[in-house]
Amino acid sequence: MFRILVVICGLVLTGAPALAAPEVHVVGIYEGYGRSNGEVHGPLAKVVLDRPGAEVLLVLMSQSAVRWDVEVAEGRGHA
Amino acid sequence: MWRWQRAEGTPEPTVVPAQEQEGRSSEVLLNGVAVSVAVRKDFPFTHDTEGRNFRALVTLVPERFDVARLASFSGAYAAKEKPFEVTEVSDDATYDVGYLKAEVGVVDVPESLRHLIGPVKGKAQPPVKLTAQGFEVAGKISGSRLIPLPLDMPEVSTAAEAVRDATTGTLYGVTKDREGLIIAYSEADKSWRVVTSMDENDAKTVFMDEVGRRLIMPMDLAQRTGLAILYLDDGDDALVDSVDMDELIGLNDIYDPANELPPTLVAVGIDGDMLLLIATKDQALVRLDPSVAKHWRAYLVDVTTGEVDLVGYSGAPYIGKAGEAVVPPCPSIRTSRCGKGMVMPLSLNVSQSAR
Repeated sequence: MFRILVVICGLVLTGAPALAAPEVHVVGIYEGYGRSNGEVHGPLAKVVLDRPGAEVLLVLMSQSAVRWDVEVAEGRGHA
Repeated sequence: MWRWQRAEGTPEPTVVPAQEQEGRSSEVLLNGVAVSVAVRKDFPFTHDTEGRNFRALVTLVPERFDVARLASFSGAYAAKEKPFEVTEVSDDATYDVGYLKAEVGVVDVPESLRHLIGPVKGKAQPPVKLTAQGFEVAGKISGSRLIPLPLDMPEVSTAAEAVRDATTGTLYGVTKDREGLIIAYSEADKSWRVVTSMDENDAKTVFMDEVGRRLIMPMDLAQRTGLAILYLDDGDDALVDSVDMDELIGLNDIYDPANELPPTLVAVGIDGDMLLLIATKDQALVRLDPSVAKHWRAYLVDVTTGEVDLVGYSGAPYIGKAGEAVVPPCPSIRTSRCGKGMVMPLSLNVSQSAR
């Protein structure tokens, strides 16, 4: 009886895939850049995220307001 | 409609912008698509891996997102056109919340010093100090008494640290004016003398080693990481010895090196040549606000070699002003529960219009 219970518990514990913890990546800047290709624009910061298969939480930290331009390497746009 | 889709098997990332300054809010574009995200204001802001805000970040962010540690940190004062690349999980030990655990316990702390490991207990008034007027000696019954500085002694324009040598009844003060001087007053024959020059080394504090017959003066860490030592029995040949110390591991965790003066090293006890130093906020600040003394590091130093070991530390992160405002209960990104007033990180809304 005890042995059966252990087996059942084992099934319950291992039957459902464990929820993997996400990877928390942080990018921190004081300010964005305001000029590119001779053009003056609002503060920008670019990030390339290349973590195939990983659950990612990306914290984008700045002192002042920034437009964060994130490119996900595996992403693809389609109509 | 434009849609964005990850490669099969790769979960959609969650993006959380965090911003310290009020005013315009940060925005996020994901593969060219503007996404709606709430900007958090409750993270300790940093763009550097040095300093107390980084330590607060590696402690609080994993706690709030219910993960063991940060996977990576990339930072710069100002972003450049070249993007930050988030490509790997870092194995940097300083990202671990308890990274100092591995640093302590390496050396045995002498039994006589162990009880002194902890925050410095600030005194309302130091027992003796040297001011422009002379030595002020605190008395338990009659209040403080002044031993006036005679005119044949150099001027003291900044209040200086001082100690009393109980063996000889001599008061020593270490000035920080110009080159810095060690000035002594003998209670026995009521005489003053300049013992020696500090050669422009600023002593932050001074410690009397009665057994070793020496004054030990931890330097101002803004100047250098070292000790000045005066051997008292050398008489007229007294010279200040200088000992450079090894790196003080974990010191940066209790201040902001870019914006704040470094902590003060306070010598609290000695056993033979092993000196116990507590790194803490300046003692004048501690007297004003004792709560700032709760962030400290303890180091055991061999005063003959300058070899240093971390032997204790305060565990709580020293949170900067952004994190100080809100320290809410920790929501997990894997739960839907969220405390009142909290801003949860939002998953990306992929149906937003393209830029």
